Amino acid sequence: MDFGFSEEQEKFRQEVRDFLEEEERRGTFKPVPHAWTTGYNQEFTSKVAQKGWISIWLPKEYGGLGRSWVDHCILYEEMVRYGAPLAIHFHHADFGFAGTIVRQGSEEQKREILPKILRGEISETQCASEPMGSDLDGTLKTTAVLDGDEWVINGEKIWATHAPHSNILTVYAVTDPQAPKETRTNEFIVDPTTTGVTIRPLPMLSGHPDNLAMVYFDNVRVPKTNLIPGRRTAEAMRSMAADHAYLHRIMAIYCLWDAAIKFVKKTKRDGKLLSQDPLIRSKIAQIEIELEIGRLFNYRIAVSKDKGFDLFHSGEAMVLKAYGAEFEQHVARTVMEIVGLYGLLMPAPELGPVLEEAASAYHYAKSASLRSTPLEYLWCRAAMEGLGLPSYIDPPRRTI
Amino acid sequence: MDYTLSEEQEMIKKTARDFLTDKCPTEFVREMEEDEKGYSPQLWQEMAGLGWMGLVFPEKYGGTGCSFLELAVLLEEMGYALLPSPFSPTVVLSGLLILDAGSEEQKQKYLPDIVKGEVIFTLALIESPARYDTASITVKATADNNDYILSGTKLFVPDAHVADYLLCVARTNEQVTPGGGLTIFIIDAKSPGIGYKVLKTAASDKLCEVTFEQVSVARGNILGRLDQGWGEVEKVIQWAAVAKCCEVVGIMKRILEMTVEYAKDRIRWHRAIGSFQGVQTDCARMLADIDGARLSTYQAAWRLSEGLPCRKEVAIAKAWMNQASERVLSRGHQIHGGIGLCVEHDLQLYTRRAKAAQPTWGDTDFYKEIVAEVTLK
Repeated sequence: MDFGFSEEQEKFRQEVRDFLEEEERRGTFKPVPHAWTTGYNQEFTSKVAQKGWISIWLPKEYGGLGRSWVDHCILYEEMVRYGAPLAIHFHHADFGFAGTIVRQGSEEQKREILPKILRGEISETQCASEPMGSDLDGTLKTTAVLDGDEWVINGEKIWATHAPHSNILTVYAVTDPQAPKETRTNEFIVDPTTTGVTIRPLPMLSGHPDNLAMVYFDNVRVPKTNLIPGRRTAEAMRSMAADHAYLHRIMAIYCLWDAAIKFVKKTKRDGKLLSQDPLIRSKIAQIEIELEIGRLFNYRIAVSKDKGFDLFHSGEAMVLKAYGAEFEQHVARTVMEIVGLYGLLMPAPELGPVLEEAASAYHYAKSASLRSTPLEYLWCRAAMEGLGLPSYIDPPRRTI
Repeated sequence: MDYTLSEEQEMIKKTARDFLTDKCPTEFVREMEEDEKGYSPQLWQEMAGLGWMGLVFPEKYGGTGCSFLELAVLLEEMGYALLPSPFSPTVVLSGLLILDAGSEEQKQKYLPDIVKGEVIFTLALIESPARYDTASITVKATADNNDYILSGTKLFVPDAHVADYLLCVARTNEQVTPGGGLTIFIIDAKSPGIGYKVLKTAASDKLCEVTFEQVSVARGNILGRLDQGWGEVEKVIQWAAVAKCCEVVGIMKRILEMTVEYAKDRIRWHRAIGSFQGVQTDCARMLADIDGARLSTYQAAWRLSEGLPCRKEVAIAKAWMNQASERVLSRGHQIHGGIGLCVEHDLQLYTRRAKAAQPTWGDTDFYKEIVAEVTLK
């Protein structure tokens, strides 16, 4: 057993911090909670790309650095802690989309797309969920029909993250309606400027106007070669979601929490620093305890992933995501308790940088238990995968 | 970074699991709850034969020189089996303290006997305020020529009634000094003036009240430095807290196993209750709680082994264990239904001990304050 980081890893962490300090000082970005998914900043993304820090996990043969998932976590732990704007490249391009292309992409797709991801030129949006169909159980309604050398896509998608800011949409569509519902789907690469694509932003209660969107496909024609080979089963889709959203979940709220700690150390109430108030101390300690547990869950998964572990069939991965979502909400709730009435303001400049967005962060955190996979699904999946409990969907095993 | 056990640790784990499955079934645990001694001297000898008492002590005292991490693996298995024995009081509370604070002469005198299983030690620390702080300690040791005379009462002393030696933390200086004016004494447990009463506890774990009436102890039996004992006590509290966490990780694992087994077998509305989302969610949360406890406990044990600073990590491990074990034992009972509350059912053997561990060696608030202190400094 070894719970420590190697000297090399510590050095890498410091290098990332130095970079972020420098870019923040230069004004390349201003720290904001949840900027990892709501902050679009091409200048910053390009600078990250110049460091070689997009898809650092990508094997050297594809132009990546071939770094470990532990390194990946270190990188993003610091990026998120500093409230850096990562929305263009993180999650979707960095490992979701790049992962799909590496695993299933054609040689041509690999040649064309991977270098662009590495240069920070691709911002991808996954168009999976639908208002009336789910990729969870293979009931998607969007179709793709081959017509000559083109696929014709029709349907509507919801919860398309970053869609108004993306230059690539990955669309899940049914290509073989006769196939079992678990295996009737393929993925397509679609340019969002193609005729027939309509993107309608969905303003959310967190105050973000276009972080999520509906995307409509009305006879959208894409070249035959835009199909990503390999039919996706519902399970494979979930597996990809697991791959791409479970790690780092715990870190989403670091930035806000660090700001809250600074706040209680310098803010006085009744002539006394908040940090000396036993009730505040108790709240701080509770979050710090939960944070450490979450970090341990996270790095355990990173280490397992480095060993080639299957995340989807693991209670541990489900636990990480579920725990991380609840943790994020607990932090947001606690911060709102600490800032009191200022939590009513959106923003509240009186609270200083980062913390001024407390209300937005609180509302944003509501999505933590819904994104990618809802909390209820995760806990039940953890019980089935991790503990071998039977599925409710299976027919009753015995009768009285 | 590596979260897996080494080959040697796996071996310790397997040996302990096999041995305790054979020697310490729950019938034995129940028997020991009623037993006056509360442990089996014969089993104690067999444990010594396996090298358990010597695991963490250097070879020159007859031990195998392993680290706290190997001890952690063993303690987890002892918890899993609910082993009733004065192992922790002897090895963790006392042996490690003698190794850390003792003179070479004291180490030569006591450690080989501990390793051989020939003596039982315990630590007499807590008094009526029932807190882990210097101010609560009032048992007084007064200098008298070459001796000290001890008077006062200690509480919650584990296995004192069967101990050969007591390490007693006593007040030697009324002035508040950095070490708290406290001194640790090694006392022959059969010395005249010492009285024992086994307390009736929820976990039937043989905690004792120990009274000292003009007990004479030779000056040479001071362990560590005069008036400076609190620094050592703080270390013991850390070791003891991590050791307790290890035991509870084992206990919680067993609670979850029993609960999952029950949820798979118990049929309601034509289905195993383990297929219901409410039950599944409870079970999965138990898994998360236990995983968190195991990881944070082993992290603390690893830092202790490596000699790294670990004040915050120990505090997090014990605070989490206290909170997590409450949820785990409550969910275990909820899923088992009424049968789990019956004395005939084994579940209560585990949940009573998990509960008893929560305030022992630092409750949640005690450790939350340490976490706050380190975070906000």
